[in-house]
Amino acid sequence: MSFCIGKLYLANMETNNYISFHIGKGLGMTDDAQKMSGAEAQEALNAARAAEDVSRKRARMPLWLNAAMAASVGAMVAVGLEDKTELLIFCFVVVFGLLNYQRKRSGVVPLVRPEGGANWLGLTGFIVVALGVYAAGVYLTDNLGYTWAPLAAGGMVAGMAFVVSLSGRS
Amino acid sequence: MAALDPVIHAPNRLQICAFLSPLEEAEFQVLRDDLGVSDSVLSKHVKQLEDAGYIEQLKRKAGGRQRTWLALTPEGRKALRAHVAALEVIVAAAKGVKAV
Repeated sequence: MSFCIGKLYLANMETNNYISFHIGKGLGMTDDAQKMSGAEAQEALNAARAAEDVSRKRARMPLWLNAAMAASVGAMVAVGLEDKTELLIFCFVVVFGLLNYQRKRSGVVPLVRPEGGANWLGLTGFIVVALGVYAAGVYLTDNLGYTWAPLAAGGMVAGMAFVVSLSGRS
Repeated sequence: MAALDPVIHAPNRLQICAFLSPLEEAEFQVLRDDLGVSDSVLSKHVKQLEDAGYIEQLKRKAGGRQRTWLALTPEGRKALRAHVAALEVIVAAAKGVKAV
């Protein structure tokens, strides 16, 4: 049996048994799925949730990496509006490199698709607004000749991407 | 009512599946360290989950060394959800009994 503060040990990892510790009653074990008590089921659920929490924490990017990713996405929009293909390719390479660094650093790859309706809504909303900002940037640059439009659009998208990435941390 | 899955029922296998559930994939060493088990124990349980079609192993080379990555399959995700639902039913039933 192992106990480890800050990790997952609600169950004995070396065996297939759940361990129920009750003060004054000692350790009780069972491995029979059909005779599982409410307390054992609760322990199993707690262990599963603890494992998920550890996994989510591990998958979480450090703040500087969130900021770097958001800046890179914003830069993609800005250089895309400026029609600078080489820089756009460079931005893609940077984003890919940051994702690869995070994968190596954490040893995990988080789910690409969002979990839950609210997260889907957030991602869809971000894509729609980002496309809207891009379209506005194209209009302002091509039709009105505003040279600051690409930078402004890129900055807005970077800011939104950062906020969205922060909401994913909670 | 959803039934408990005998493959996932063992605590370590439940934790392996739960750990992998918010992820596309995780490195074998990471899972071993975070769950606090030996290589052999983890390998044994991964093999059982793989045989059931709940997990797949992906071998990749990194820095000249082969690394094993683990991922839950769609069947594994479905089985985990059903198992957790069954556990929740047991807990709810036990609470209901206590309340009476």
